[in-house]
Amino acid sequence: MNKRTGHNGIRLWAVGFWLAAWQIAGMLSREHVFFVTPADVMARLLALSRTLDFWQSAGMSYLRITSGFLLSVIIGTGLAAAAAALPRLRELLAPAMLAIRTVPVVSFVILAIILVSPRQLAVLISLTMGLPIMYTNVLDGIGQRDPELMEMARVFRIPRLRRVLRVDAPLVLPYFRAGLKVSAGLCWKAGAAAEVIGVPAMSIGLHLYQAKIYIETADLFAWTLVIVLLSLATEKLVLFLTDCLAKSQRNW
Amino acid sequence: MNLRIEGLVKQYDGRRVLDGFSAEFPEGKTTAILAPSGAGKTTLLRILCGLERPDAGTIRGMEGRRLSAVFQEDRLLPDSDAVSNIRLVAPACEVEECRQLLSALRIPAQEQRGKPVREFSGGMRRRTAIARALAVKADLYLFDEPFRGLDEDTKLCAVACVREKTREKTVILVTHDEREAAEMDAVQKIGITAR
Repeated sequence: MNKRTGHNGIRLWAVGFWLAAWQIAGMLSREHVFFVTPADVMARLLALSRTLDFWQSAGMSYLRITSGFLLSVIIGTGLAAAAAALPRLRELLAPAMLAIRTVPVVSFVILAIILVSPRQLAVLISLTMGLPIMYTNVLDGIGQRDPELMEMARVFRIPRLRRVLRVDAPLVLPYFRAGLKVSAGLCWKAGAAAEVIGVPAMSIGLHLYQAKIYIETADLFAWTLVIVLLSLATEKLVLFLTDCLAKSQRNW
Repeated sequence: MNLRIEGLVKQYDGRRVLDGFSAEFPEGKTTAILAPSGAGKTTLLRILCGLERPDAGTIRGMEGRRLSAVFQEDRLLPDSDAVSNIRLVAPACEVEECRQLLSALRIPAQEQRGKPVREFSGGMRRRTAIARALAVKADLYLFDEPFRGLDEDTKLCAVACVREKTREKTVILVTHDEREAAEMDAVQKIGITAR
């Protein structure tokens, strides 16, 4: 494939272009209260980062949303492994996973807020959003295992655990990885939305809500940037750890 | 105890691939099954491996045997190196032992560790599959055209290595090459006619 046309990644010059466009538009409409420039956002973010409340809120939100995300990875993978072995369970779970995937996040949030505390809401919503993605991806991956390698494992009587780790896992891993990538971002989006509705103390959601109430556009952008950065950090970290594990596992 | 097959029948979609196949494989010797493509020799090996159930017939003398095999395809873990592929099925085989086996099959020392087998040539992958089968301390070796795709010189070397490592073991060699059967010192040659 031609490298020039085939590259779908983010180019620095393109980011620079959009930031410059935003800066110019912001400067041209200075009198408008809703419009802030990237420089305003960065200044506000810098000011916020000097407060203890900023780190406490970011830390607690990170803890809640990442917990939900990790739970979705563990439960989704476990359910997919069980469903691959038990066709009846797969049939039972299919409509539930479809429902979770298609029902709007806000409906889940409104329902969940009745059942759990505001602090637990982001965990539950992140879990709910990530679960069907991990489940579907891992189940698809298990379905794509190489039957020839599975037969080889049977003939050589490779013990079950070694077979799962050495023969099955490398084939499922690309699907698992793709699931991680998608669900990490989605968990952060849904988790932040749940915090805005549940407004638990010490949360990014509370600050976003306050930014809306007091029309603090710079705060809104600054906290949104924090969410984006934390979401990217989570995604990159789990993908890095997965790749390290895959690499070390190849030549055990 | 000799391995004895009687009246083996296997059919797929109403087409009989094996039709009352019978044979006796002497213990500790090599038997060659010579047949053209499509005659059911791979099906026979799949049944012996326990991967297929026969529609009729009996197999005696398989109880408690440890199997090892070279399949028609290499069936290696593509992202793992040659030594890891061997140790996957034979964890008791020490790294140095694996290396000696690979060297005997002319896999260069620098290619044995750290290089995924998907980057190997077809011949090197085939020899790695042979090395993997030989690393297993088995009672019965099932070889489905193990030397396919090897050049004459490498094949002779691989044959010598297989003969050496499977001495006094029961070996069933599937091939369509009579010369290969002779080189492997097969004590008997059984033919299957194409159906």
